[in-house]
Amino acid sequence: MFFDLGSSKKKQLKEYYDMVIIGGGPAGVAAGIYAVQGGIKPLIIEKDLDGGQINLTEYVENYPGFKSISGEELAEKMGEHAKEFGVEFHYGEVINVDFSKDEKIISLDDGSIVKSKTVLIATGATPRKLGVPGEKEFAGRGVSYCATCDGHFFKNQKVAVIGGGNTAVEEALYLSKIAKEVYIIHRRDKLRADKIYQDKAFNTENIKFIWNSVVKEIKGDKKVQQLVLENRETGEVTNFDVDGVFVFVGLLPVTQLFKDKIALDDYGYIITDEHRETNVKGVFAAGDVIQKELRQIITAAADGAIAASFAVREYFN
Amino acid sequence: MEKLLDEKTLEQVRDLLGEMKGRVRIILFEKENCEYCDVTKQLYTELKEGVENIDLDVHHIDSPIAEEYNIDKTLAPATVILASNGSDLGVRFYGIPSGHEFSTLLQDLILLSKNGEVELSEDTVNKLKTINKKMRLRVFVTPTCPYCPRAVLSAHQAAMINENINGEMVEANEFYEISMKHNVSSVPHTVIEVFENGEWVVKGEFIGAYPEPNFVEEVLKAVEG
Repeated sequence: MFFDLGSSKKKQLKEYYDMVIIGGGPAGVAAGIYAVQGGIKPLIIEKDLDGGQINLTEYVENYPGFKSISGEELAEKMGEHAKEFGVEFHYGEVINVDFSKDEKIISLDDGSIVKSKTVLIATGATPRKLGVPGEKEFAGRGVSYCATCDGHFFKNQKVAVIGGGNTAVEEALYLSKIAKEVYIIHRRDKLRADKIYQDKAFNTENIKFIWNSVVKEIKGDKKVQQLVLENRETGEVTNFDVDGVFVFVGLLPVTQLFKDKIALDDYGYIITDEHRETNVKGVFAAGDVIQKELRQIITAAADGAIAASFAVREYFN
Repeated sequence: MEKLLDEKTLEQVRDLLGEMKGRVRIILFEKENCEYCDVTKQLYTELKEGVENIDLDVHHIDSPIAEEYNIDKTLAPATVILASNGSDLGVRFYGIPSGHEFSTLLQDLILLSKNGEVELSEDTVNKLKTINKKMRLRVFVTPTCPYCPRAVLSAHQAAMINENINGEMVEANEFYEISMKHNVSSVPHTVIEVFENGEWVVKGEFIGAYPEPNFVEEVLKAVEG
């Protein structure tokens, strides 16, 4: 049992900040720290919890300095670190941005508006959907995208995990401690996940694999009961009984708000230069939301640091 | 029993709750053979002893006092928190507010110490105030769900600004039957019910933590429906 203290003391929002950072994950937190270090006043706007997606990870084992740390703890530590450094946090959701003038305007869902000279977008990513019939209908009825949140509803039941990357395999390992059987269903004949996770999964008795298969449809009555699978090699279509299905087939960047305001690539990721600046002067982006090769906590933090230190040099000194 | 909140955590809690403006009263309803009743009582006792401005009453869930507060007797431990002026603004927790929900509890204590001075936009407040039907917002959560506190806090704040509304957290792991009844398998899952002809009728539901305007929209849609 743990006890999360949540957001810090509420402070009255000021009208203006040197840098508004949208998102309090590792990218946003690192940027906040580097901004304060550079002598400017940043505000981090976070809609849920400090640390962002880190909170969804059971253990983080590849962030230097922490051999093994729970996602919640690392997330909390990051928030604490930034706050002790003097970074101001506000909890709410950004619902509109105006980047058209030198002074940027950010509107929040609680009705408040803040202005800033620079903005850092660190909104991260959310799980990508499969896009098959039944997925939407059974969302919250056996289709889930968050094992940490929903795993316990499938105690001693049979669940499927769709995907073969690090997240899919990590989540399968988490679920294997709760569910009776976990089936990893992957479109290829081998996993894409890092070897350490693969080894763990292959050595877990109640994790089983269905290779070369894709989900064509999710079926059920009131809840998920069956997946329609197609074998990509043989073309054979089979029905597979499950109680729940967890989808981890990649990420979707959270960039809906920024469409037509800054340049995005075909997948919706924000395009930045080497300083993590977007095509709009004074608007930066960092972390999972940008176009890049490796999306990890450490690369998110690095992006944030690069963006904030450049912003300080370019726009404030 | 070992302490739930160590001294360092308690110190941080004291710091956060330094914002409280008056005393608030936590009322816990418990019963026998209840997995989480004792630990919930321990949590509140540690808060009461470690923090200023918190009073605690403990009653049996079958006591007449539970009826006064319209407590669902099938769901123990049940918690009511009264505002500092002693009024019941409809804030309920069914199950233990542990994990990420502990943060919701702390926020509630602060808001209720200011007699329900909510942190919502004027537009949201005005819209929610128009509701003249008795309704309850039941937010199903798990303690490990990072998105859940926001959904619960929305429901609780709606309760604070309109006496017709109750906002209830329901810890889904503890209450299997009612979770199954509403087909809960992803959290946060908010069930919106209206009291009609002597019973609660489900009028709407949504999954996920919605931004304020969308939350209000869902609630209003349910009232009209």
